[in-house]
Amino acid sequence: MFYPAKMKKICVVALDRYRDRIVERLHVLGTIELLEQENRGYEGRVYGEKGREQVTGLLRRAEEVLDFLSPFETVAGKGSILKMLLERPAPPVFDSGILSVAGGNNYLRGLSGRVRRLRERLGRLESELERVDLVLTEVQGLLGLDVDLSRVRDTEHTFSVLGRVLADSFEELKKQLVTFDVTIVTDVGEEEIPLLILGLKKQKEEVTKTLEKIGFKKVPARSLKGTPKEITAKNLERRTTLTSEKNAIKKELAKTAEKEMQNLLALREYLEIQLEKYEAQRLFSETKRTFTIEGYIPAKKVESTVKELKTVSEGHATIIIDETGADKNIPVHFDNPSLIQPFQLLTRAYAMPKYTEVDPTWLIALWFPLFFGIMLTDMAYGIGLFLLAWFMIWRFESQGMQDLGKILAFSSIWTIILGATFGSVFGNFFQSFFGISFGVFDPLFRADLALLFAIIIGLIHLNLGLALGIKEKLRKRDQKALVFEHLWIVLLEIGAGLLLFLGRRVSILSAILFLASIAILLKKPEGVGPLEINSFFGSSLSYARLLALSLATTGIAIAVNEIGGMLLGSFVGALFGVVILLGGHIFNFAINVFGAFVHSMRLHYVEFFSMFYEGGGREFSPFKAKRRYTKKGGN
Amino acid sequence: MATDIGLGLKIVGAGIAIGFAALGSGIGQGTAAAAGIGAVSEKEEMMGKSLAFATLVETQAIYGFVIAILILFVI
Repeated sequence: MFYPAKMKKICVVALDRYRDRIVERLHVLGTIELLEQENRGYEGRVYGEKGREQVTGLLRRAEEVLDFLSPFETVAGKGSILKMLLERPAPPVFDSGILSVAGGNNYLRGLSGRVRRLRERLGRLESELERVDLVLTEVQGLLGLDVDLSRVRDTEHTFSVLGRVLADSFEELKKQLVTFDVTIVTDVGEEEIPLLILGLKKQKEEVTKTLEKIGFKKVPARSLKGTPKEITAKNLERRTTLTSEKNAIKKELAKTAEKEMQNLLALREYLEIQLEKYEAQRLFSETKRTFTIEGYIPAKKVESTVKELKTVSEGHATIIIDETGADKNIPVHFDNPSLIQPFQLLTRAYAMPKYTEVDPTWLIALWFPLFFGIMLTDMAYGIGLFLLAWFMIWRFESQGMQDLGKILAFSSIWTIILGATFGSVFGNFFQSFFGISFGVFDPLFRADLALLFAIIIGLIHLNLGLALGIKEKLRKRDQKALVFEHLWIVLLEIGAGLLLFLGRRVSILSAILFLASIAILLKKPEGVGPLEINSFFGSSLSYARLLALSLATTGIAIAVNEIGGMLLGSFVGALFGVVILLGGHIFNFAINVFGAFVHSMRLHYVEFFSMFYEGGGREFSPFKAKRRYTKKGGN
Repeated sequence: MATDIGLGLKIVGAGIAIGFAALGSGIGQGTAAAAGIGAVSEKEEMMGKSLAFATLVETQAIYGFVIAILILFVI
């Protein structure tokens, strides 16, 4: 608990015929981090190449279908946002006949054929709809022309051109075209006027140039039959048919997605697990008939793993367990009881401890909820936080959300206890509206005492870190670091303590201790010399935030109660008042839960860790099947 | 009357202490948070440290807050 798990090195040598069973068992156990071997492959042979190719191919196909279907799953609209929020993830699939290479292949063959046909039909419909839309846009400006467009063709001596011109330019156009032998067929229009211009072919070039100058927008004469009105009516009808066909296919795809998504995700996960097993074998060293696995294993898992391996290899595997010795790259594995495991999230977010370093998780588990509670200090908010934490644990599967939920649950307990102690329920809600007040002490009116309390807690916290730092340096026999990093603080604190509690009687002794502390800092090879006293002073004062955030929570809550209370006189006012009370407290809760979390984190990362913790280890990454959609015990 | 002026000055003083300290902290926090977001977008593991860096600047506001409390309750 106080240090990361002790690691050992494991080496397994076995005959090829036990290979699949051993690899499978190791993947299920997840106790070994594999190490890359030097003599990989045997005479260019890579074990299981054919199987690997098969799995890769299947995986690609599964992903293709998944990629295509997943947008339709959301289109299917699983109901309201509330339903989405409250819907727990589907239960995992347990070998429903598809979780094998052959089963998956059969399943995918049927499904991908069906999906491909729907996809092609959808594609055809979409491109036809695009074409219909294009025609509609083009003829839209020509609606007033009562001309069969199929007859708008060039002849041997004449040309014809279709288009539109701005209403303002129409007179100018007519004037410019007077000199040419052209006939203009037109109709009235508000902004743009549709035009069909017929003229002699020999004048076509000049007419075109004149039209361009005036801003004539030409509409390409496609092979359209009928007048613009007829064409529009026909295409609108076609559009309706196509859209309803498209919607029907989309609906079918959404239905397929809803029905098959879970199976597809399970299949993909199964295939990824298989692939990982093949990939891992590239790390083994090989002879003609044997293979060797090497890796790191937590010492506590050695016995059970060896027993399992002996069983699956029928006693035909040689297993060597060795010390890690002076390895530089030993992975770090947390070794904490389940109650404090969620707090590993916070340690990890800063940095993994080094293999030989103290693991600060248990200290975070002890102090973080307390700091959080002090900063939030409200019974009602504490209960709200507990419910939120419970919801997170119930609704979300991911380890991160589960851990976060548990951290918040622990923090909510302190929030409730301290809220009750200081008589804070939605700030001063009960006092303000019902005249009921309880609590032993109100920090708002004795902020000086509360400040002292916060700084004392801070000093205890910092000194705990200091003691750990000293212990670590002593353990490593690092006297230089002990003196330059910790001893000066101890001298400074003893000096200040003597002066504070014994007064002037010991002022000479205090002065000597202060000077000794400064002398050490002056000799310190790196850093900012005696100015470090300032940073230690700053660290202690930094704990004043415990009070600051606590007052902020209460202060905003009181303001909300005041504003809400002012409006409660009339019926309409009461409506607004209730909205303000609800909205204000939700806002206050949200912003201060976030604030309390971040600041509790910061007090650990910046003030506390600087006393003893470095971090920088590499997390143990075992060869282990990661399952979310498939149940353990499947293949 | 003299007491009232004294009280008024105390309140103004406390306001100035926390107000300016918070203003400076706010500006600094903006810079730190922007840099933090940049760091997280390149390396997601930096999230925890970036949050801590952003709150690092708040220490100055805390000093202002402590001074304000001392002015109001101790002096």
